Amino acid sequence: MMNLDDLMAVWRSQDDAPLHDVNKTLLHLALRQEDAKLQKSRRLERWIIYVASVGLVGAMALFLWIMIATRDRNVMTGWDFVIPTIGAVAAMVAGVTIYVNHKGQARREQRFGESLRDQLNRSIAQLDDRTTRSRMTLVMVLLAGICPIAILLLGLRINQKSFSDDGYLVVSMIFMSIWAVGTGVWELHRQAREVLPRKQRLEALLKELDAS
Amino acid sequence: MQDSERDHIFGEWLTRHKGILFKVVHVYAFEHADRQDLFQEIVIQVWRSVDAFRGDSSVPTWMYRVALNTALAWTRKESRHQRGKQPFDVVEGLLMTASSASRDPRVDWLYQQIAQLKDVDRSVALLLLDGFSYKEIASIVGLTESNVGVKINRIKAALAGKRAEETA
Repeated sequence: MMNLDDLMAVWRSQDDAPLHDVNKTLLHLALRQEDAKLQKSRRLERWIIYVASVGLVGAMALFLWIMIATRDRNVMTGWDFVIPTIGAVAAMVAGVTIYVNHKGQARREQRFGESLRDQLNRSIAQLDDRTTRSRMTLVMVLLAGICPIAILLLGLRINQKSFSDDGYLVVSMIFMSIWAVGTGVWELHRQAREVLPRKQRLEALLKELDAS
Repeated sequence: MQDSERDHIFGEWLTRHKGILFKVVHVYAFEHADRQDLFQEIVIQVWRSVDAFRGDSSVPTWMYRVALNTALAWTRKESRHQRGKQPFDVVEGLLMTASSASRDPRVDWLYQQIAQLKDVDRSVALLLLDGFSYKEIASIVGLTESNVGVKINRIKAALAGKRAEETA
Protein backbone atom coordinates (compact mmCIF):
# COMPACT_ATOMS: atom_id res chain seq x y z
CA MET A 1 0.00 0.00 0.00
CA MET A 2 1.29 3.46 -0.83
CA ASN A 3 1.97 5.85 2.03
CA LEU A 4 1.69 9.63 1.85
CA ASP A 5 5.29 10.10 0.71
CA ASP A 6 4.69 7.71 -2.21
CA LEU A 7 1.50 9.53 -3.12
CA MET A 8 3.34 12.86 -3.03
CA ALA A 9 6.09 11.49 -5.23
CA VAL A 10 3.50 10.24 -7.74
CA TRP A 11 1.73 13.59 -7.59
CA ARG A 12 4.92 15.55 -8.22
CA SER A 13 5.81 13.42 -11.22
CA GLN A 14 3.23 15.41 -13.21
CA ASP A 15 5.41 18.52 -12.84
CA ASP A 16 7.77 16.97 -15.39
CA ALA A 17 4.90 16.10 -17.73
CA PRO A 18 2.18 18.72 -17.14
CA LEU A 19 -1.44 17.91 -17.94
CA HIS A 20 -1.86 21.04 -19.99
CA ASP A 21 -0.08 23.92 -21.63
CA VAL A 22 -1.06 27.52 -22.29
CA ASN A 23 -1.53 29.15 -25.66
CA LYS A 24 0.47 32.30 -24.93
CA THR A 25 -0.83 34.28 -27.90
CA LEU A 26 -4.43 33.72 -26.86
CA LEU A 27 -3.54 34.42 -23.25
CA HIS A 28 -1.99 37.76 -24.18
CA LEU A 29 -5.10 38.61 -26.19
CA ALA A 30 -7.38 37.54 -23.33
CA LEU A 31 -5.55 39.74 -20.84
CA ARG A 32 -5.62 42.73 -23.18
CA GLN A 33 -9.38 42.22 -23.58
CA GLU A 34 -9.78 41.99 -19.82
CA ASP A 35 -7.74 45.16 -19.36
CA ALA A 36 -9.82 46.97 -21.97
CA LYS A 37 -13.00 45.76 -20.24
CA LEU A 38 -11.76 47.07 -16.87
CA GLN A 39 -10.75 50.43 -18.34
CA LYS A 40 -14.09 50.72 -20.10
CA SER A 41 -16.09 50.03 -16.96
CA ARG A 42 -13.98 52.54 -14.97
CA ARG A 43 -14.49 55.16 -17.68
CA LEU A 44 -18.22 54.49 -17.70
CA GLU A 45 -18.43 54.79 -13.89
CA ARG A 46 -16.53 58.09 -14.02
CA TRP A 47 -18.79 59.44 -16.77
CA ILE A 48 -21.96 58.41 -14.94
CA ILE A 49 -20.76 60.31 -11.84
CA TYR A 50 -19.78 63.38 -13.92
CA VAL A 51 -23.03 63.43 -15.91
CA ALA A 52 -25.21 62.82 -12.84
CA SER A 53 -23.42 65.57 -10.89
CA VAL A 54 -23.60 68.03 -13.77
CA GLY A 55 -27.26 67.14 -14.35
CA LEU A 56 -28.15 67.65 -10.68
CA VAL A 57 -26.29 70.94 -10.41
CA GLY A 58 -27.73 72.09 -13.74
CA ALA A 59 -31.29 71.23 -12.74
CA MET A 60 -30.90 73.03 -9.42
CA ALA A 61 -29.39 76.07 -11.16
CA LEU A 62 -32.27 76.10 -13.64
CA PHE A 63 -34.83 75.98 -10.85
CA LEU A 64 -33.04 78.82 -9.09
CA TRP A 65 -32.85 80.85 -12.27
CA ILE A 66 -36.58 80.35 -12.97
CA MET A 67 -37.42 81.46 -9.44
CA ILE A 68 -35.22 84.53 -9.57
CA ALA A 69 -35.86 85.53 -13.16
CA THR A 70 -39.59 84.98 -13.31
CA ARG A 71 -41.32 88.31 -13.77
CA ASP A 72 -44.82 87.33 -12.86
CA ARG A 73 -44.16 87.02 -9.16
CA ASN A 74 -47.86 86.77 -8.38
CA VAL A 75 -47.91 83.30 -9.93
CA MET A 76 -45.18 82.04 -7.59
CA THR A 77 -46.23 80.85 -4.16
CA GLY A 78 -44.17 79.75 -1.17
CA TRP A 79 -44.68 76.12 -2.22
CA ASP A 80 -42.88 76.76 -5.50
CA PHE A 81 -39.75 77.43 -3.44
CA VAL A 82 -40.32 74.74 -0.80
CA ILE A 83 -40.80 71.81 -3.19
CA PRO A 84 -37.49 72.16 -5.11
CA THR A 85 -35.70 72.83 -1.83
CA ILE A 86 -37.06 69.56 -0.39
CA GLY A 87 -36.04 67.81 -3.62
CA ALA A 88 -32.51 69.20 -3.45
CA VAL A 89 -32.17 68.22 0.23
CA ALA A 90 -33.49 64.71 -0.55
CA ALA A 91 -31.00 64.38 -3.42
CA MET A 92 -28.15 65.45 -1.14
CA VAL A 93 -29.27 63.03 1.61
CA ALA A 94 -29.41 60.23 -0.98
CA GLY A 95 -25.93 61.14 -2.23
CA VAL A 96 -24.47 61.20 1.28
CA THR A 97 -26.19 57.89 2.14
CA ILE A 98 -24.71 56.23 -0.95
CA TYR A 99 -21.25 57.62 -0.13
CA VAL A 100 -21.43 56.50 3.54
CA ASN A 101 -22.68 53.06 2.48
CA HIS A 102 -19.86 52.74 -0.05
CA LYS A 103 -17.20 53.70 2.52
CA GLY A 104 -18.72 51.39 5.14
CA GLN A 105 -18.63 48.48 2.71
CA ALA A 106 -14.99 49.23 1.82
CA ARG A 107 -14.12 49.20 5.55
CA ARG A 108 -15.99 45.92 6.09
CA GLU A 109 -14.17 44.33 3.16
CA GLN A 110 -10.77 45.44 4.48
CA ARG A 111 -11.40 43.56 7.72
CA PHE A 112 -11.36 40.24 5.88
CA GLY A 113 -8.02 38.50 5.43
CA GLU A 114 -6.78 36.37 2.58
CA SER A 115 -7.74 32.87 3.65
CA LEU A 116 -10.41 30.96 1.81
CA ARG A 117 -12.85 31.50 4.70
CA ASP A 118 -12.22 35.27 4.58
CA GLN A 119 -12.62 35.30 0.80
CA LEU A 120 -15.95 33.51 1.10
CA ASN A 121 -17.12 35.97 3.76
CA ARG A 122 -15.92 38.87 1.61
CA SER A 123 -17.78 37.55 -1.43
CA ILE A 124 -20.97 37.10 0.62
CA ALA A 125 -20.61 40.65 2.00
CA GLN A 126 -20.16 41.93 -1.58
CA LEU A 127 -23.31 40.15 -2.71
CA ASP A 128 -25.24 41.55 0.26
CA ASP A 129 -23.96 45.01 -0.59
CA ARG A 130 -25.00 44.54 -4.21
CA THR A 131 -28.51 43.58 -3.07
CA THR A 132 -28.68 46.59 -0.73
CA ARG A 133 -27.55 48.93 -3.52
CA SER A 134 -30.14 47.45 -5.88
CA ARG A 135 -32.86 48.07 -3.30
CA MET A 136 -31.65 51.64 -2.72
CA THR A 137 -31.63 52.21 -6.47
CA LEU A 138 -35.17 50.87 -6.73
CA VAL A 139 -36.32 53.23 -3.96
CA MET A 140 -34.70 56.13 -5.83
CA VAL A 141 -36.31 55.03 -9.10
CA LEU A 142 -39.68 54.80 -7.35
CA LEU A 143 -39.19 58.29 -5.90
CA ALA A 144 -37.97 59.59 -9.24
CA GLY A 145 -41.10 58.13 -10.83
CA ILE A 146 -43.63 59.28 -8.25
CA CYS A 147 -42.23 62.65 -7.12
CA PRO A 148 -42.44 64.51 -10.46
CA ILE A 149 -46.12 63.54 -10.82
CA ALA A 150 -46.84 64.54 -7.23
CA ILE A 151 -45.00 67.84 -7.69
CA LEU A 152 -46.80 68.53 -10.96
CA LEU A 153 -50.23 67.76 -9.49
CA LEU A 154 -49.42 69.79 -6.40
CA GLY A 155 -48.22 72.66 -8.61
CA LEU A 156 -51.48 72.59 -10.56
CA ARG A 157 -53.46 72.59 -7.32
CA ILE A 158 -51.43 75.38 -5.70
CA ASN A 159 -51.47 77.55 -8.79
CA GLN A 160 -55.19 76.86 -9.19
CA LYS A 161 -54.85 75.43 -12.66
CA SER A 162 -57.03 72.65 -13.99
CA PHE A 163 -55.79 69.21 -15.06
CA SER A 164 -56.64 69.98 -18.69
CA ASP A 165 -54.21 72.95 -18.72
CA ASP A 166 -51.24 70.57 -18.57
CA GLY A 167 -52.99 67.33 -19.51
CA TYR A 168 -50.41 66.06 -22.01
CA LEU A 169 -47.59 66.75 -19.61
CA VAL A 170 -49.29 64.87 -16.75
CA VAL A 171 -50.20 61.86 -18.92
CA SER A 172 -46.72 61.61 -20.45
CA MET A 173 -45.11 61.89 -17.01
CA ILE A 174 -47.39 59.14 -15.67
CA PHE A 175 -46.37 56.86 -18.58
CA MET A 176 -42.69 57.64 -18.08
CA SER A 177 -42.99 56.98 -14.37
CA ILE A 178 -44.75 53.65 -14.90
CA TRP A 179 -42.02 52.67 -17.36
CA ALA A 180 -39.23 53.73 -14.96
CA VAL A 181 -40.78 51.89 -12.01
CA GLY A 182 -41.49 48.78 -14.08
CA THR A 183 -37.92 48.71 -15.38
CA GLY A 184 -36.54 49.19 -11.85
CA VAL A 185 -38.63 46.34 -10.41
CA TRP A 186 -37.71 44.03 -13.31
CA GLU A 187 -34.00 44.81 -12.88
CA LEU A 188 -34.19 44.14 -9.13
CA HIS A 189 -35.80 40.75 -9.75
CA ARG A 190 -33.20 39.93 -12.39
CA GLN A 191 -30.35 40.77 -10.04
CA ALA A 192 -31.94 38.74 -7.23
CA ARG A 193 -32.14 35.71 -9.56
CA GLU A 194 -28.45 36.19 -10.36
CA VAL A 195 -27.23 36.80 -6.81
CA LEU A 196 -29.21 34.21 -4.87
CA PRO A 197 -27.74 30.98 -6.35
CA ARG A 198 -24.22 32.37 -6.00
CA LYS A 199 -24.82 33.38 -2.39
CA GLN A 200 -26.29 29.95 -1.62
CA ARG A 201 -23.22 28.27 -3.09
CA LEU A 202 -20.85 30.48 -1.07
CA GLU A 203 -22.82 29.84 2.11
CA ALA A 204 -22.74 26.09 1.44
CA LEU A 205 -18.95 26.27 1.08
CA LEU A 206 -18.68 28.21 4.32
CA LYS A 207 -20.84 25.58 6.02
CA GLU A 208 -18.56 22.88 4.63
CA LEU A 209 -15.56 24.66 6.16
CA ASP A 210 -17.33 24.97 9.52
CA ALA A 211 -18.35 21.33 9.47
CA SER A 212 -14.77 20.10 9.71
CA MET B 1 2.12 49.47 -10.98
CA GLN B 2 2.45 49.93 -14.73
CA ASP B 3 0.82 47.51 -17.15
CA SER B 4 4.15 46.37 -18.59
CA GLU B 5 5.53 45.68 -15.11
CA ARG B 6 2.44 43.69 -14.16
CA ASP B 7 2.63 41.71 -17.40
CA HIS B 8 6.29 40.96 -16.80
CA ILE B 9 5.71 39.70 -13.23
CA PHE B 10 2.65 37.72 -14.32
CA GLY B 11 4.61 36.15 -17.20
CA GLU B 12 7.33 35.03 -14.80
CA TRP B 13 4.83 33.59 -12.33
CA LEU B 14 3.09 31.71 -15.11
CA THR B 15 6.29 30.28 -16.55
CA ARG B 16 7.44 29.00 -13.16
CA HIS B 17 4.20 27.96 -11.51
CA LYS B 18 1.62 27.26 -14.21
CA GLY B 19 1.44 23.67 -12.95
CA ILE B 20 -0.45 24.96 -9.89
CA LEU B 21 -3.16 26.43 -12.10
CA PHE B 22 -3.44 23.25 -14.17
CA LYS B 23 -3.84 21.13 -11.04
CA VAL B 24 -6.55 23.37 -9.61
CA VAL B 25 -8.42 23.44 -12.93
CA HIS B 26 -8.20 19.65 -13.23
CA VAL B 27 -9.57 19.13 -9.73
CA TYR B 28 -12.51 21.54 -9.99
CA ALA B 29 -13.66 21.22 -13.61
CA PHE B 30 -14.20 17.99 -15.47
CA GLU B 31 -15.27 18.76 -19.00
CA HIS B 32 -13.12 20.39 -21.65
CA ALA B 33 -15.30 23.51 -21.97
CA ASP B 34 -15.50 23.89 -18.18
CA ARG B 35 -11.74 23.61 -17.86
CA GLN B 36 -11.26 26.31 -20.49
CA ASP B 37 -13.74 28.49 -18.64
CA LEU B 38 -12.23 27.99 -15.22
CA PHE B 39 -8.67 28.37 -16.45
CA GLN B 40 -9.55 31.69 -18.07
CA GLU B 41 -11.20 32.86 -14.85
CA ILE B 42 -8.23 31.83 -12.70
CA VAL B 43 -5.64 33.33 -15.04
CA ILE B 44 -7.48 36.66 -15.03
CA GLN B 45 -7.77 36.67 -11.25
CA VAL B 46 -4.06 35.86 -10.85
CA TRP B 47 -3.17 38.62 -13.32
CA ARG B 48 -5.36 41.07 -11.39
CA SER B 49 -3.85 39.94 -8.09
CA VAL B 50 -0.30 40.89 -9.09
CA ASP B 51 -0.85 44.44 -7.77
CA ALA B 52 -2.01 43.13 -4.40
CA PHE B 53 0.95 40.77 -3.87
CA ARG B 54 3.14 42.17 -1.07
CA GLY B 55 5.54 39.26 -0.70
CA ASP B 56 4.22 38.21 2.72
CA SER B 57 3.89 34.67 1.40
CA SER B 58 5.71 32.80 -1.36
CA VAL B 59 4.48 33.13 -4.94
CA PRO B 60 3.24 29.50 -5.14
CA THR B 61 1.25 30.01 -1.91
CA TRP B 62 -0.23 33.22 -3.31
CA MET B 63 -1.12 31.56 -6.61
CA TYR B 64 -2.70 28.62 -4.81
CA ARG B 65 -4.74 31.04 -2.70
CA VAL B 66 -6.04 32.96 -5.70
CA ALA B 67 -6.62 29.85 -7.83
CA LEU B 68 -8.46 27.92 -5.10
CA ASN B 69 -10.58 30.91 -4.11
CA THR B 70 -11.56 31.40 -7.73
CA ALA B 71 -12.21 27.72 -8.38
CA LEU B 72 -14.37 27.28 -5.29
CA ALA B 73 -16.54 30.29 -6.06
CA TRP B 74 -16.70 29.52 -9.78
CA THR B 75 -19.78 28.13 -11.42
CA ARG B 76 -20.00 27.52 -15.11
CA LYS B 77 -23.48 28.99 -15.38
CA GLU B 78 -22.41 32.32 -13.93
CA SER B 79 -19.25 32.41 -15.96
CA ARG B 80 -21.23 31.90 -19.17
CA HIS B 81 -23.69 34.53 -18.07
CA GLN B 82 -20.92 37.07 -17.49
CA ARG B 83 -19.40 36.26 -20.83
CA GLY B 84 -22.78 36.82 -22.46
CA LYS B 85 -22.53 40.39 -21.26
CA GLN B 86 -18.93 40.85 -22.31
CA PRO B 87 -18.20 38.72 -25.37
CA PHE B 88 -14.90 36.97 -24.99
CA ASP B 89 -14.02 35.02 -28.08
CA VAL B 90 -10.61 33.62 -27.36
CA VAL B 91 -11.48 31.26 -24.51
CA GLU B 92 -11.53 28.07 -26.58
CA GLY B 93 -7.97 26.95 -27.06
CA LEU B 94 -6.45 28.99 -24.25
CA LEU B 95 -5.75 25.83 -22.30
CA MET B 96 -4.12 23.11 -24.40
CA THR B 97 -4.29 19.50 -23.29
CA ALA B 98 -0.89 17.84 -23.26
CA SER B 99 -0.30 14.23 -24.26
CA SER B 100 -0.80 11.78 -21.40
CA ALA B 101 1.65 9.25 -22.89
CA SER B 102 4.54 10.14 -20.59
CA ARG B 103 2.38 10.57 -17.50
CA ASP B 104 2.25 8.13 -14.61
CA PRO B 105 -1.25 6.52 -14.66
CA ARG B 106 -1.34 6.78 -10.87
CA VAL B 107 -1.63 10.57 -11.29
CA ASP B 108 -4.94 10.07 -13.06
CA TRP B 109 -6.03 7.70 -10.29
CA LEU B 110 -5.22 10.41 -7.72
CA TYR B 111 -7.25 12.96 -9.66
CA GLN B 112 -10.18 10.54 -9.76
CA GLN B 113 -10.04 10.07 -5.99
CA ILE B 114 -9.69 13.79 -5.27
CA ALA B 115 -12.68 14.50 -7.52
CA GLN B 116 -14.83 12.40 -5.20
CA LEU B 117 -14.02 14.55 -2.16
CA LYS B 118 -16.06 17.53 -1.02
CA ASP B 119 -15.12 20.93 -2.48
CA VAL B 120 -13.07 22.19 0.47
CA ASP B 121 -11.44 18.79 1.05
CA ARG B 122 -10.20 18.85 -2.54
CA SER B 123 -8.30 22.06 -1.75
CA VAL B 124 -6.77 20.48 1.33
CA ALA B 125 -5.80 17.36 -0.64
CA LEU B 126 -4.14 19.43 -3.37
CA LEU B 127 -2.13 21.44 -0.88
CA LEU B 128 -1.16 18.33 1.08
CA LEU B 129 0.07 16.50 -2.01
CA ASP B 130 2.07 19.55 -3.07
CA GLY B 131 3.90 19.48 0.24
CA PHE B 132 2.36 22.40 2.14
CA SER B 133 2.58 22.16 5.93
CA TYR B 134 -0.52 21.93 8.15
CA LYS B 135 0.12 25.52 9.20
CA GLU B 136 0.30 26.77 5.60
CA ILE B 137 -2.83 24.81 4.64
CA ALA B 138 -4.66 26.22 7.67
CA SER B 139 -3.65 29.75 6.67
CA ILE B 140 -4.66 29.33 3.02
CA VAL B 141 -7.99 27.65 3.71
CA GLY B 142 -8.90 29.54 6.89
CA LEU B 143 -9.19 26.56 9.23
CA THR B 144 -7.41 25.81 12.49
CA GLU B 145 -4.45 23.46 12.28
CA SER B 146 -6.33 20.82 14.26
CA ASN B 147 -9.23 20.98 11.79
CA VAL B 148 -6.78 20.62 8.94
CA GLY B 149 -5.34 17.58 10.74
CA VAL B 150 -8.80 16.01 11.02
CA LYS B 151 -9.50 16.63 7.34
CA ILE B 152 -6.13 15.24 6.27
CA ASN B 153 -6.64 12.08 8.33
CA ARG B 154 -10.01 11.57 6.65
CA ILE B 155 -8.51 12.16 3.21
CA LYS B 156 -5.65 9.74 3.87
CA ALA B 157 -8.08 7.12 5.16
CA ALA B 158 -10.31 7.57 2.10
CA LEU B 159 -7.35 7.21 -0.28
CA ALA B 160 -5.94 4.19 1.55
CA GLY B 161 -9.37 2.54 1.67
CA LYS B 162 -9.90 3.06 -2.04
CA ARG B 163 -6.45 1.71 -2.85
CA ALA B 164 -7.01 -1.37 -0.67
CA GLU B 165 -10.42 -1.92 -2.25
CA GLU B 166 -8.95 -1.84 -5.73
CA THR B 167 -5.99 -4.08 -4.98
CA ALA B 168 -8.14 -6.68 -3.17
